[in-house]
Amino acid sequence: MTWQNKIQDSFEKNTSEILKGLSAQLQLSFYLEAEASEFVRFSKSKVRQATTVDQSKVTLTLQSAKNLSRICFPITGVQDEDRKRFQVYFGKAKQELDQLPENPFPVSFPATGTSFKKFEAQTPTAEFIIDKIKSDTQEDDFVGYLASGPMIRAIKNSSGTNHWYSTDIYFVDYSMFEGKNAVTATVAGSNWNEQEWLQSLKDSRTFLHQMRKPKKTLPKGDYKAYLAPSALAELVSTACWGGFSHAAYKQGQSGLRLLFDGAQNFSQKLTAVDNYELGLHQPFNSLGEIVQTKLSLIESGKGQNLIVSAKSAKEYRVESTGSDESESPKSLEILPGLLKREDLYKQIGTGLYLSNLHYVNWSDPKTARMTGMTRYACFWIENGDIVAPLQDMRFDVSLYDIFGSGLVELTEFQETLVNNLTYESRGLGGKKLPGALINGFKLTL
Amino acid sequence: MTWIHHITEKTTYRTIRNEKLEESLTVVDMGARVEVMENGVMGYAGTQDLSNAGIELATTKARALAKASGKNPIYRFSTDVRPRAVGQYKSPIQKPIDSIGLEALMSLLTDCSAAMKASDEVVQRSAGVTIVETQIHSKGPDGHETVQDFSIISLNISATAQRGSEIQTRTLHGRSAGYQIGSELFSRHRLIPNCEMVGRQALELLSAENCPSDTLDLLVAPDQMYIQIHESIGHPLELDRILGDERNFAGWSFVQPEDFGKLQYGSSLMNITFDPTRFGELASYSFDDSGMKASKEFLIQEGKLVRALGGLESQERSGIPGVANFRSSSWNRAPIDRMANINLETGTSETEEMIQSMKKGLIVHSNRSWSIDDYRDKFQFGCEYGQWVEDGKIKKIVKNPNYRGRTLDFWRNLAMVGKDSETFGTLYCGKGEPSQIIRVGHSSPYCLFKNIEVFGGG
Repeated sequence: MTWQNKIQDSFEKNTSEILKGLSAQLQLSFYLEAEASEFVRFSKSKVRQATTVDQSKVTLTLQSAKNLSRICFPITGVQDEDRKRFQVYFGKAKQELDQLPENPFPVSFPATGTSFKKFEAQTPTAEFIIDKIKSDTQEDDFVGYLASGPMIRAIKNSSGTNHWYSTDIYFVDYSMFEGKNAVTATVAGSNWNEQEWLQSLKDSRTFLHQMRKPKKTLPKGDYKAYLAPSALAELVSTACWGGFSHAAYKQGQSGLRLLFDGAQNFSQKLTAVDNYELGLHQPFNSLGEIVQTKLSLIESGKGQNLIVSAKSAKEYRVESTGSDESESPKSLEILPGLLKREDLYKQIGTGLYLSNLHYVNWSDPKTARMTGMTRYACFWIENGDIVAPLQDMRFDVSLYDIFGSGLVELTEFQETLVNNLTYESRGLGGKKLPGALINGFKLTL
Repeated sequence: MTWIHHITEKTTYRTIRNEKLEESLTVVDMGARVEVMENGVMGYAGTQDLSNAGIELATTKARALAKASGKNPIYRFSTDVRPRAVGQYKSPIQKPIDSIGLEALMSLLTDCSAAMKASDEVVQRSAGVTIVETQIHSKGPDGHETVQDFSIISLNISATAQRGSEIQTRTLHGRSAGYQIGSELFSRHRLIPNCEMVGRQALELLSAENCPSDTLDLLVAPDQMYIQIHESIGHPLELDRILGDERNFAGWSFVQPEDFGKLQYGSSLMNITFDPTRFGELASYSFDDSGMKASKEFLIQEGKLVRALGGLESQERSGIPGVANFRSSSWNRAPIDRMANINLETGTSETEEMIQSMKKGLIVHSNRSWSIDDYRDKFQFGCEYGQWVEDGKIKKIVKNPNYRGRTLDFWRNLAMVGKDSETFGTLYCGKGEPSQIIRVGHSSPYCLFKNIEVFGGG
């Protein structure tokens, strides 16, 4: 029996057994997150550490008319052991139910039917990537890692909802260095694509070659700048940190509050959608709600919709968008503009080409101001030509400025950037973004 | 050779918002990390199947990974990187965490929430705790066995005040109030006045002026110093960063291997220690994951860089002296060099004396924003609450205080160090590939820095 089949079998049998005996006064849901992952970490084109991890956790949510308790626990795929764990933690949840204060915003667990989606692939193994790095990068200074293997998300609840989603994916997230010059790239997918891999390495070497010039240190000031999709992603990721959350908006914690108040606009050229049709994330949340497939967040520069969980919907009397309680976009897409790839350098004219940004954080949430650093392959452009790589610079900009009157144009091409965060476990989701040419990018240090 | 680390952890999140239940979640985690060394190369396998069959399977996987990695390893380690250790550690608690019942805890949090309501303008009041109980039980060859039990509580107290479009949030210590402690932390007599202060100061900020832009004396409170130390000392001194392992994610370091014993990092008042022995600080422990015994060491002495934050593997690779800080976030991640308790040792100045010395200056409290480059040089921090000083006296409260600078310039401008230290920490320091979060502690007194660029919001 494969790992996936063991987990599926255990989850199905144990959840069914408990749901069968559930009292009519209670509602119960089980949300499964599981992965069987191989991680190999490289430094200087050699193996630093290799790890395999099999991990599965179930979040059990039990609700009575007035109370709610939630416990998350691990399962193993070993039927008897898991049966004990389901029983123990269901018992603990019941015990806590009456000790907790009343749940002020009870939400009925949704009945959204059943679905089963399983995407299978031959993702690269640890041994495969160890051999590839040895054979393909020995002339390079390669640093980064592989994360690879199957992932599962599933929900089953007492309203008859039963959704299963499993996928087999990988990414190699890497940087290539020449002294202190560096470029970064990610190769991701389901089945290994040798051509894409070799092309990525070749492109990285080409970029590094272009950096073999003395670095240019710029004085503080406002510059015209091109943000490549991966640089734009850093700003967008920070904006997603509460920016589109209905609860954060109502509680004074959204950095995009003025946009959704209508007191500020972005350029008409900017439209953003949380687009689950990109296929980067499962289409249901941890309660069993089906997400709104395409939710317009920003339409022609105006704040359009916030993301709403069932809890916020109840508290603030609005419609749920099927989000979990994080209320953050999982598949954010910014629609493309008109700037052609071949015109890019000409349109920059004299200014900055920023391939990546680093460590972005709000510096003043009220005015949507963010600070961060330039990182990796960033260049000074003069009259449409690359003149020199940039010394790392700090920026501090308001999104209302750079994506408002400062937005010159978005590129007609977009890039899909998969979620490569692996804190505690691997994540799903990602972004599809164009590049952005802007005026008034403020460098401060 | 094989080592097995069994880790069990229970994390409980309880939050009351506006005197009503906001969150109640318990996360139970159990797993084992098997480490196998083959020809000087380690392989790691994490499993939640703790049966004999599960551990055997994980051992087979770890061995296979060690062999595969051995085809192209960064280094072949000696067995010295896994010293034999026997011993125990327990967090120094006075009362077990479960000595406060769930209903009593939720009642206290509800009262904390209510205590923040300094006026109707304090529209959001959140009182939460994160409680972590962890056991790490490690076994290895030749009777190697350590058992370490941790009891941790982090307080999350926050008040948001609103008047029209002006919104200000004040928290208790910028959410850095984390300690190794028992339920003695839940002292109503101490918590309620703190919550009242948080609510009052959120309200004060609504009427405060924006922090002016200037270059002046900056007095940094301990609940901002903790992250200044963390970002501009802790991370750049991590030896795996200096060796280049983190270049793809967390970044490199401006510190070079040849800087140890030579680099004047800061003024002569600057004494920085790695101290895993400090009572109640978040990252106190007796052994790191390699089995190295943890002890207090100076990293920077009278401003000079003397030692790195590197465990035995990095020490063997680099030849640079380090500390016992080879730590993993849990059973599902391999250990890497992590800072632990990194502290600024006390000086001789009274806080009042430092304020009196300021011709024009700013006092900053409680971090709310942080950013630094991948070499740990150019930083910018934002704080919740500022106090504007002129001619040695606090003149007014200012909102949105920020400051920026460069690491060595900043620390070389350290002019006065307070005589009383306060301890803070966070559960959420991120690093590594695959990524890991880990607990760190930082103790510091108030510190005065000269010629710092400050500015406000807007």
